Amino acid sequence: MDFDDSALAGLQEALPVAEFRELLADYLASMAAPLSQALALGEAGNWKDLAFAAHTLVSTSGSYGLTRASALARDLERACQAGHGGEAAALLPELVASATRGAAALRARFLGDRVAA
Amino acid sequence: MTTDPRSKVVLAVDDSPEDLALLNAILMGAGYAFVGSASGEDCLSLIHRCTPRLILLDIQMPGLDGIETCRRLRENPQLKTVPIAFLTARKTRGDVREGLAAGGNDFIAKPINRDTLLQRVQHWTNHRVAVPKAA
Repeated sequence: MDFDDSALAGLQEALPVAEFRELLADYLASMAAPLSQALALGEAGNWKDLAFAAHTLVSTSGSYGLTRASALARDLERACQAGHGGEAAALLPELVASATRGAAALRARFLGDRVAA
Repeated sequence: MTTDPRSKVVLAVDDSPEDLALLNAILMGAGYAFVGSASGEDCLSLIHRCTPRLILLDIQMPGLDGIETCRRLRENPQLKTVPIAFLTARKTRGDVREGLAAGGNDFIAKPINRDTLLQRVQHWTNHRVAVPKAA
C-alpha cells in the first residue's frame, strides 16, 4: 500500500483544519528534495551517504503515511549498509515511484486535490 | 503532580524538519509546549535556556548523534532527572544497549505513530527519573 491514511487520521481530528492542511502541504512541498538527493547519491555510487539519506526517508515517509516508501527506504538502507550496490540501484526508482504515488494519494485524501491520471 | 500538559515542555531533537513539524503538530495538538531543535549541538546550547520535562532524541543525525548528545546532556546536573527517550528508526539490540548506557530511558520507534508517541510522552512527562547513586 503506497498510502495509509490511518497514520494521519488521529492528527486530523486533533488539529484545526488549516493547520493540518498546512502541515501536509509543507511535507509534500519538501519531499522532492530528499528523493532527488537519494537518486543523485545512487548515481554516484555513494552508498554510505545514501544509507544515511534512506534512513531519514524511512522515518519521514512512514510518519506521513507513505508506508510502502518507508519499507522500501528501509530495504534501501540495508542494501547500502551491506554494500549491495546493484540491489540499492534497483530499489531507488521503486522508492521514488511509490513515494510519488503515495504523495498523490495523500493530496487527494486530505487536501482534496485530484490524483493525476 | 500536575497532569495539565500545557505546563509541560517537550524538547525534540531531530535533523529532519518534516519530523520536527509533525512532532510539533502532534504535541501542540495534545496541549504540550513544544521546543524543536535541529541538531545535538543546537540542543546542548538550547538546554541552558529551558529545562524540559522530557527530551526526545533522534539517534542518527549529522554532527553529534543522539547517543553522544544524550551522554553530554546527562553530564548537566540540572538534567539528571529529566527523562530522555530516543525517537528513532534504529532499534537494534546494540542501539538499545548503547542508548541506555548513555543515560537514555526509553526507545520510541519511528515512523512516528501519534497514539504511541502520546502514550509514551504522557508517561514520561509524569515521571522524573531516579538519579543514579554514586558508587
